[in-house]
Amino acid sequence: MGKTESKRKHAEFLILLALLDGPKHGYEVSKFIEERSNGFFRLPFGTLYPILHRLEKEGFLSIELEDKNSIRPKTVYKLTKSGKNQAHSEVSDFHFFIKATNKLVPI
Amino acid sequence: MKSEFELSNQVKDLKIPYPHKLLLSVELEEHMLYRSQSEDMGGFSGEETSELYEIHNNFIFKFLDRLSPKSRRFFEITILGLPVVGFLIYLIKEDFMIQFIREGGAVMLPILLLGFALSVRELHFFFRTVVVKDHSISSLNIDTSSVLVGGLALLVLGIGATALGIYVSANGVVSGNLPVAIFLTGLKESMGPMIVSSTLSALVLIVHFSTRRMLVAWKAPIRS
Repeated sequence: MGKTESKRKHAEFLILLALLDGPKHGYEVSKFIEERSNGFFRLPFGTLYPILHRLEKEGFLSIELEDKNSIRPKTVYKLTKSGKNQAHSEVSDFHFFIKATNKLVPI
Repeated sequence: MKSEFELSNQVKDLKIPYPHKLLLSVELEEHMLYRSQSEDMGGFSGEETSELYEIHNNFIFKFLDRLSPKSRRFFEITILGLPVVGFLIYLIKEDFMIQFIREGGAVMLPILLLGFALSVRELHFFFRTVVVKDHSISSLNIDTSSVLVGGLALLVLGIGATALGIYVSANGVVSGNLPVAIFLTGLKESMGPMIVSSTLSALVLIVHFSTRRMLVAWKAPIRS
């Protein structure tokens, strides 16, 4: 896995975690990640939206439009059933990873 | 670092179809309103722009986009010309259709030429904006008035030629030169131009306005 691909995978995981908390606008996803991680993770606009759109295309997210009939409808992202399954499976993999890594870290 | 104006223009210039382009542009505005950070001001990198291009465009768009404008136009016209050529072959092969066109008289030629020209133009408009989803500025410049004028001209030609044919047949019967039964033959033969012109103009108008309706539903900024 290349550096970009690995960075992307991490960003995807963070986005899924943010949306596990509930449906959100794009900027709310970015705000949630930054605030919950005390500023450790930051997803700039350019990284965030292509990933959100890709996850939507892959069926992990669904889009709901606020003010559907307005000329400028707002997008709300929501996890689909398969998105929730994916998020839970990645969370469980992450816990295994942390456990295994903890055993390797010298005390 | 880009200014908000440059970022907004970057979204406008993205080669993605509506409504995705509009939604992304609203997302950018919202994002900048609530979460503007220095990291955001870089906008989309080349890789991110390509990713959005890959996500939102279909394979026909991607294929045509690789061609030069000249080859693209040739390819599109060939694709759209196929059903028209198929229809013409059907006309030539069917004796009934040949007879039907002949009976309509000389006016059938301009009706068929104008009708096919308008049909190909509207099918091209449909193909480009709905099938390929090319929502570039030039594709969204829609000339509805010329379609209406063309469709109306087609109808006027057809209805005029039919009315004239009926008048000539009726006149022949009234002046006593022709038997009454001939009037029915004249009536039948005169219907051709009206049938063809109304069918083709209806096709042209249906394709044009349904395509326009779809673009409006996708919130594409069409310019008439």
